[in-house]
Amino acid sequence: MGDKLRAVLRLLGLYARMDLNWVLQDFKAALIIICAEIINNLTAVSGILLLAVRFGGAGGLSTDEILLMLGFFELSDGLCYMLFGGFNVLHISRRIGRGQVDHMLIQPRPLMVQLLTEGFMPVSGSGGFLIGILLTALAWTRLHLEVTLLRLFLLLLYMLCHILLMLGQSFLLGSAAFRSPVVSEELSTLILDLNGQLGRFPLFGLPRWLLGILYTALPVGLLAYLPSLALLGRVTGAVLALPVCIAAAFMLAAACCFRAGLRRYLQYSCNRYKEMGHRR
Amino acid sequence: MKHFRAWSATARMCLKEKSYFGLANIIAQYLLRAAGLGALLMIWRSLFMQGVDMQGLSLNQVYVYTILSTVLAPMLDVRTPASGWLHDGSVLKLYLRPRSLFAQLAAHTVGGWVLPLAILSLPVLVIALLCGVDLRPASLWFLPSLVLTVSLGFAVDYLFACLLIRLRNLEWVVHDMRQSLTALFTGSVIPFAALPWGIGRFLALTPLGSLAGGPLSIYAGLAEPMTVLAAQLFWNVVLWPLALWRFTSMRERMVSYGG
Repeated sequence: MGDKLRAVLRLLGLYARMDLNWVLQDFKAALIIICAEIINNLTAVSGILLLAVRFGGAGGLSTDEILLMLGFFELSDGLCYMLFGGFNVLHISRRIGRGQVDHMLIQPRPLMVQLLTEGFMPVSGSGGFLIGILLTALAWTRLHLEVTLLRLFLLLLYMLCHILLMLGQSFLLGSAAFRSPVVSEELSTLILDLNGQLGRFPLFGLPRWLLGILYTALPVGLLAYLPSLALLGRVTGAVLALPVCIAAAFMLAAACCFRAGLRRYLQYSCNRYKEMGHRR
Repeated sequence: MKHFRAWSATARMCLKEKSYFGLANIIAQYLLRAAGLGALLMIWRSLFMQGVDMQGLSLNQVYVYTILSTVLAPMLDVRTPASGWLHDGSVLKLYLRPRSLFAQLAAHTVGGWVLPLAILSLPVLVIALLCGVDLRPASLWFLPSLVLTVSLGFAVDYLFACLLIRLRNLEWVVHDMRQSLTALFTGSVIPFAALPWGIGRFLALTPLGSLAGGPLSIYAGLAEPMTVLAAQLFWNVVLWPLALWRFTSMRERMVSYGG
């Protein structure tokens, strides 16, 4: 176990160095990409934030509470992309659908270790995470929220749940690409986009049945809305455990489907490439 | 007539190409857009339910604006295949055919509109009407404004293609950045009239603001038609020559990795 952990940490260090090297080798391109990422993240939050500013709040939350929700979303999402965004690990259906799992199976490392490490891009992929820290800290200060152990624990726990929910949904749907590579190649992208689009919305005022769906089957409400309500002390009791339970359920289902798909892949593989090198 | 047949054949090819990733993918894409529309409508509804002072905006106006931004989405933010084809190298095939480059790109773009208009726009319109949303336009000046938006959209798209050539094929970066900028600065998601500090009035006069925000604001009765049309006409006159000049001069710089 200790050896495995050391191997994972060594690989993470290696990928971090490669990411830094890439930035240093083509600084202009890296700068453009980092700036673009910052612009993307800022514009993604500004729509709902501007509405909240204009109308003194939105969806049952005040402007500062909306800021906290958006900050939490950027923080967790940014961390998720920083850890798993590289080499399409998060968009796993692309790797599977394009027949690139072959490339992974010939590496002298377990598949799990590769998936845990090769998406790490702490330099070029940190824009969203840094903006998330800034927005969360700003909202935290403006709301005069007390820093307690419980609150910090909830913050870290819900960040972990956010990452697991994203990974779980992406791998669960993405496993379909083992069976139908062309049709399912972009399924992970679709579900991640849906999470990115709806996860930033406050869900106050929705009918109960719809809230039920958005807290379970399509858990966009657990990405930022419910966690921010918990951080604000607006929800208590068993509801606090909902993100943990749903994240665990998605990860379990994803692991089962991914394993079953991989077994099939080991039998049939996937031939998507033309002689010229581009995909069919 | 012969030219039109060639043009419409290209448009049909593009329509078929849209189903490359299969029915499940197409349905999921449109469900994604429908979900985004639903979320935004819920936000507007919740604002009105809270009794927030909407400062002159009526619920029907923002509903009409939001619904039409989804219904007319492909025309309000014109995306030709130029950027994608520059990235994967298939732009070369356009130069091998006996048709003008821009006409081919336009045919592919218009062909790509058929599926979203049929699968998403029509059902959304019908559902909106059944839900009692009054979809009558506030002014028929909306139509010329839409034409100017489409025309300006092509010019803006060619300029983004030039930027892509200049940035040596950073396709996803340009794509993501454009996606974010157009969501906010074209008024395709939030009406300019609903933005704070009067920034909407400034944005409406910019080239990006003349895209989606123009016809939608006229349709929903949120803007004076003549001001919008004048801004759109001005940016068409300025950006079209610029786009043609830049695209021609950038041709020599085209580099592709082939996917």
